[in-house]
Parts: sequence; structure tokens; C-alpha cells
Amino acid sequence: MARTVGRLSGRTAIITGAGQGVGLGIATRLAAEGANVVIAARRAETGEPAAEGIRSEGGSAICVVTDVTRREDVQACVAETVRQFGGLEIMVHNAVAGAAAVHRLDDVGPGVWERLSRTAVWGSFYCAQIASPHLHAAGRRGRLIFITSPSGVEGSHTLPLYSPVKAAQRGLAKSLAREWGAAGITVNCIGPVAETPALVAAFQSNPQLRDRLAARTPLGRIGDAVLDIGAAAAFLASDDASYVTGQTLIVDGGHFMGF
Amino acid sequence: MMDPATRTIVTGADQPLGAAAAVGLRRRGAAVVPIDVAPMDRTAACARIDAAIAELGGLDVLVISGWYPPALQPRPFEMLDDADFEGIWERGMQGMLWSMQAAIPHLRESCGNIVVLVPTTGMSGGSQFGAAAATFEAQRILMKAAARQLGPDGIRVNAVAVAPELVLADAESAEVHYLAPSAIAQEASADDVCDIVAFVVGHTGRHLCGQTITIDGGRWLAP
Repeated sequence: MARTVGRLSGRTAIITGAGQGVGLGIATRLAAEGANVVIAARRAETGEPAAEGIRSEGGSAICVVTDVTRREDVQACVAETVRQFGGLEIMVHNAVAGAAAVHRLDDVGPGVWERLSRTAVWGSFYCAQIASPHLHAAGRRGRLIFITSPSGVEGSHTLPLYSPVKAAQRGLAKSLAREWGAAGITVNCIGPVAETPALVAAFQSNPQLRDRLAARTPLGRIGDAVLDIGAAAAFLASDDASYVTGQTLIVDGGHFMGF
Repeated sequence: MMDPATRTIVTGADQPLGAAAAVGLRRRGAAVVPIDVAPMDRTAACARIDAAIAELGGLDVLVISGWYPPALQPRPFEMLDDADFEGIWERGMQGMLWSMQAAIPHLRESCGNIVVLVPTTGMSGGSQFGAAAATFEAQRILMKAAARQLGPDGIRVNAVAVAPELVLADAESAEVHYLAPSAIAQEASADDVCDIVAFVVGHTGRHLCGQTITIDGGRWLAP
């Protein structure tokens, strides 16, 4: 997606887990709207090509290898961002532990819990806390966005431990929206369904899944990471959404209509 | 009233809400073993549930309440360190998860119930309660996931969301001003919570599954 002089010109965004999938879609869209983007990816093998792809379209992007489960990694990522671009207005925490296997509450062990908890929830804690002084410096341009999931609202039958870690992000977002509101910072969540490498892999192992999911989605298709999810993130990151805070925007074609 | 044969464990009975729930459910006829807030360690958490089940001779109702005490105190988000966050988040979640896990086989035998008590703060958010609100909301949604997975086995899982001041220290100054005033004159007490728990686990509540019943006099009305 080619860069334009857009709503986010002159702003800098970190997107975690942006080496692929939803995170890359968001980074691509924010860059196209003019933001400097920092691809915070756990692996340079995905993060560097992602940043190069955005630069090749005329965007401004760097990759900083970051494991969001480590406080010092997030600190280093934020420090490098501020060093290169002079500030940080938009923090998007999207990273999630790799697709969890179906599990039963009867016997699921601490390992599954730890993987999900560390990436989604500890990652949210670190991203929010370490970005905080920079978001406060940005004032009314400060944005914190967590990528959660519809299953963090409705509860998942097959991935019961995935649901609470995604719910935790909503509870934290609402609280920070209240706590930071006086500074003009907005804090929101997006609950996406998009065609990502993880979902494509699921389609390959279960060919009926795509049709079944599409059939249960009023708009009849699976979301696009750039055009659908990236667009929602760009809206929340922009001045257009400066009066929107503490909300969860479900971007799933109408699959979940919970509110 | 509850059936006197209703074998019930109440966790978090070392805190006011859990203590009141244990006393109140016993007064309504249930056989109750109260235990303290669950530890984070899986083996220790399961052992405590196992011991209580042995004392009761089985299990019909598990009431989960109680949190790491610093969760209940307001604190600016920037001041939380990793130890605080681990206590609030990991202990709250793992304590609930492992307690539930130990109880599931016994609840399957009895077609029993799990009831999770949470303050409405998880749904409303609360300034200076960020880690706690994350935990409360995650507990509520783990309840929903458990309801979906365990329902086919005959286990019902629900939540009762209570007014923040029944749980949080200094809730009045830190958070409650975000909420509308109670729509009814009478504020709910911890003992009132027991009436709702008794209804949820009883025959008249037999179709409730994965629900959150809010008992705060009509302050948090969402969705």
C-alpha cells in the first residue's frame, strides 16, 4: 500500500507482532497513512522483510527485534524508537503466542497458561507502562491500542485459556482509559477476525472451516489484515477518534454481535 | 434456602466477601467448607480443594472469590512493578484455574456448579485498578469459556458481579464516582450475594449457563 500524506503524518507507531498477519496489516496501513512505524517482531526473519516491504512502498519503517515478554526488550524497543524518530505517539500491542492447540480445562498445564499469559497480558503491561511517559508527552495524540479477540468477550469452547488473556486486555484498557483520560490519551481495543498465516494454516488442516466461518459471518468473507483491520487501527490512531476511548471495536464482519 | 446436602467450597473466605458468602450459604442450609484465597502454585491449589472435597464427601458447588490483597488497593499504573503484577494477575488467574481444575471431576459426578464472584470493576474499568480490572474481567471470561466447555458434562458455570465497595479498599474515592448511583435505595450487602448464588445453583437457575448476574442495585447497566 503506497504511502500518502495522511492522517498520521509526523507520528510514530510501534506495532508488536508485526512480522506477519494482523500486526503487519496494521503496520502497513499506519505507514500508508504517513506514520513512521516500528516493526517490533520477535524474529528478525519476519520483522526485517516486513519493514523492507513497507519501505519499498515509500513508507517509513524499521524493525526492532523485541520479545514482548521481556521488560528489557520492550524498554530497548521504545528507546530505539524515540532515538530514531524523536517520540512515540502510538503503541499497538498485537503480539500473541503462536496458535494454541485445542485444550481441555480438566488437564491443561501451566505451560499453556504461561505462554498465553506472558505474551498477551505481560506484554500489554510492559507495552503500556514503558510507553506511558511518551504517550503522556504526546498528549491528545497519544494512543494505546490492544489487539484482543471476539473470544475474549464471548469465551471460547476450544481455547478456554485464550479467552481470559484477551479479556484481561479489555479490563486493562478501560482502566487506563480512565486513568490517562485527563492527559488526552485514548486507550482502545480491536477484536479482529482476519485471514492471517495462523488462520490459513487452520484452513489447510480443516478445509471446511473457511466456508463454515464465512457462512456464519453476515458479510460473508474473512477480513483482510490491511484493508479491514489496518483501517480500523488507523481510525483509532488518528485524530478522527480522539473522542473514542475505553472501547472495543470488533472487526469481524458481524460474526459476533455482543453489545 | 439450599438443600442441606449441597456440598460447597468457598474460596477466598479469608477476605470479607468470601467470609460472608461462606457464612451466608451455611445459614441457607448448605454444607460449606471455607478455604483461603487460592495460591498460585498448581499442586498447592489442587491439594487444598482435594482436602476440602474429602471433608465434604464430594462436591456440588464451588464458589470462587478472593484476590491477592494488593489487587484491592488503588495504585497508579506506572507504580506497579513485576512482583505486584505477578501477585495480582498470576495469582488471581492461576488460583482460579487450578482450583477449578481440581474440582471438575467431582462436579461432573454431581452435575454441580461453579460460581465466580467478581466486582463490576472488570466490566467498568477502574482508574488505578488496571491490573485488578484485567484480572476480574479475565476471571469473568474464563467463566464463560468454562461454561461452554463443561456445560455438555452437566456442569454449570456462572458469575455474580458485585458492587466494588464489597471488595475494593477505598473504592469510594478511587472508582465508584465513575458509576451511576444505585437505582434502588437499598445497597446490596455481601449477604444479599448469597441469595443470588443460591438461586443460580438451585433448580430455578437450571438454565443459567455462562451468565453474569450483576447485583449492585442498578449502577452498572451494560450492555
